[in-house]
Amino acid sequence: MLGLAQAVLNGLLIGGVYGLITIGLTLVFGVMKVVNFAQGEFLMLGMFGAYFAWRLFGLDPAVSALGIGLIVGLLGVLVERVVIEPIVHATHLSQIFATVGVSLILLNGAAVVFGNDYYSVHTAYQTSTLALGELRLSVPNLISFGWAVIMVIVLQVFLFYTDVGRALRATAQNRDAAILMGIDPRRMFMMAFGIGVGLTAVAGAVILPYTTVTPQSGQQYIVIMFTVMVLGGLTSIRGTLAGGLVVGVVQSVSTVFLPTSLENLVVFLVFLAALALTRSDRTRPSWPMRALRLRSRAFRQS
Amino acid sequence: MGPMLPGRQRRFRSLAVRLAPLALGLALVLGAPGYLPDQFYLRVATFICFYGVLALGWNLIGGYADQLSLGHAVFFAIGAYATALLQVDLGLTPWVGVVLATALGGLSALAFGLLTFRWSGTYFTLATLALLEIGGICATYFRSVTRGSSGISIPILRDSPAMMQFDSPLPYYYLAAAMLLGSLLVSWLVLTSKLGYRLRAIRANREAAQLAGVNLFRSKLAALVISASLVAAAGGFYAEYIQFIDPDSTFSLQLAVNMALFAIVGGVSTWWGPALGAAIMVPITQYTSMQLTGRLAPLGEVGLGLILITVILLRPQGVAPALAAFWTAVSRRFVERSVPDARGVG
Repeated sequence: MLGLAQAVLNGLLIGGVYGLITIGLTLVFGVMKVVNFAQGEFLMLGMFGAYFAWRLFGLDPAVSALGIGLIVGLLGVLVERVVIEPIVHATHLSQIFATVGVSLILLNGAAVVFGNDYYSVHTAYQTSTLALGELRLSVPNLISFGWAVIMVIVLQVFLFYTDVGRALRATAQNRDAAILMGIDPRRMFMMAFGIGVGLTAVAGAVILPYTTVTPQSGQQYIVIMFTVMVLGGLTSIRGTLAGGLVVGVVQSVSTVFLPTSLENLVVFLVFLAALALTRSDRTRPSWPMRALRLRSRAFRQS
Repeated sequence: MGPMLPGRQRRFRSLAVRLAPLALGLALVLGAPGYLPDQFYLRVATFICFYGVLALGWNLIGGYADQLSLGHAVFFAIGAYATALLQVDLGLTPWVGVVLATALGGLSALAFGLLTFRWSGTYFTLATLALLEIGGICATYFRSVTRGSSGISIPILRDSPAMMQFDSPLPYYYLAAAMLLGSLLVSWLVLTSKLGYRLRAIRANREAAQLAGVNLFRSKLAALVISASLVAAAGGFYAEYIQFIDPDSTFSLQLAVNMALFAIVGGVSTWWGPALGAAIMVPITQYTSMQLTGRLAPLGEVGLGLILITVILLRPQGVAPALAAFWTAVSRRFVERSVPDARGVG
């Protein structure tokens, strides 16, 4: 029983981060209607950025996270200008494989530069835990969860209380109407993509203390990201967070009953199940989300 | 311009012009051992044929039906593992094994399609990714069946054609070439059949096709099953040619992406484009993997990514339509060349 409770707790902490990782993906998809298959690689870049900030400047990843996010976000804007913008109105095939191409370049570029080794940081608090009754909370997990909460709050404030944020939401809800309102969709795309990959990079930085980074790291997370996004209803931020928590808990609890090597198998099966239970109406959330009464019109508060 | 050739001559010339590229292609493929300088090139040619089958298979569902699969390698892996296990565990000759593997690939596609085709295109793509990951995890985990990550080695028997093992690379090439020609035929047949007609209708306008009575679900399912069967057959061949398979090399995202990449570069809307894409890209990848070793090896994949992006941004239809248009333009004069005539009747 205790083991299960511990697993659920761990799952929640990790799930919060899964949510943060995926919010960038959701933002890009919501505003641009493009599934960014390179999102995992931006996560990996965020992780490497944090690693080198630690290696060269001694900065704790929790401290350098925002700066890393900014840098990767700027890179994202560049990628968006060159590769994504031309295919926003193109066929599905073009959209999917343009981002796949970016993924190939980033992943293998990193492999050339960093080799296939595993890099990890060493922080003072890496192995410490806090006690919650009989349960243990891993401090790095707590910090990354805290970061996730902060970033989500900041994002919500940005999207709902600033003009730019409202413009982004308008573009996501109805691009043509937004254009008629005088919003420049191209600027919105740049922002959405930049912020989207920047958020994922921040997440990468904060998870580095409790994991290792290698060029392949992005690929390890991409299907989890898709699972979270689909569970969350594809366009809702709160849904994405909830989806992240669900995936985190499912993954963590499954390790109690199954060998660790199968933990992702359960997640992917949940993914297929979630797809099976989702209607063809893309903006409608899956039944777990409806059960939890989380709405999913694009970025709308309930 | 003077008068045109009489109709009969025009039709004959037009037919000749359409058959000429076919004859040329056939000669290139079948005569390869003749003009290729040594065994190394023959090996590359074998890979061209092999990847051609994969790309053509992918295109049946990716190009014709616009259901973009990023996990098609899963059917390849099923074919490879089926053939290998049937041979290693049951002693079954691969000639039969490959046929069974093909059927197994088709059946898995049927099961998968029944599950996923009710969803829209993006969901299908994500689902194929998930399927690939699931397959890889299962293959690694269920060691008792699949030998896990140590992989399966096909025992090397010298010169036993009955077990699809030959001493020289030549029979392997002809086997691959036969598969390529078969896949081209299948690709052409599907495109020109009623199924192809329906798929084209779906691609042009889904709602209109539905209103015209096209069963979207069944058409896409049919395309997927045929596609997966081709790819599974190639997987069986791969197992026998390379004689070693493991989860990493078969349930490989890189392979899945390459299949699609070759098809896209070649030309997704044509029945022969993907084979052309393989013919263009395989020598490039072979060359780069030879030149770039060690730390620089992934640069080859970077190059592939750049090529993919360039093609998508500049010429998303691929090379084939341009080539076909070129041939048509060049041969038009041959077909329609007029006979000089004083009367000037056209």
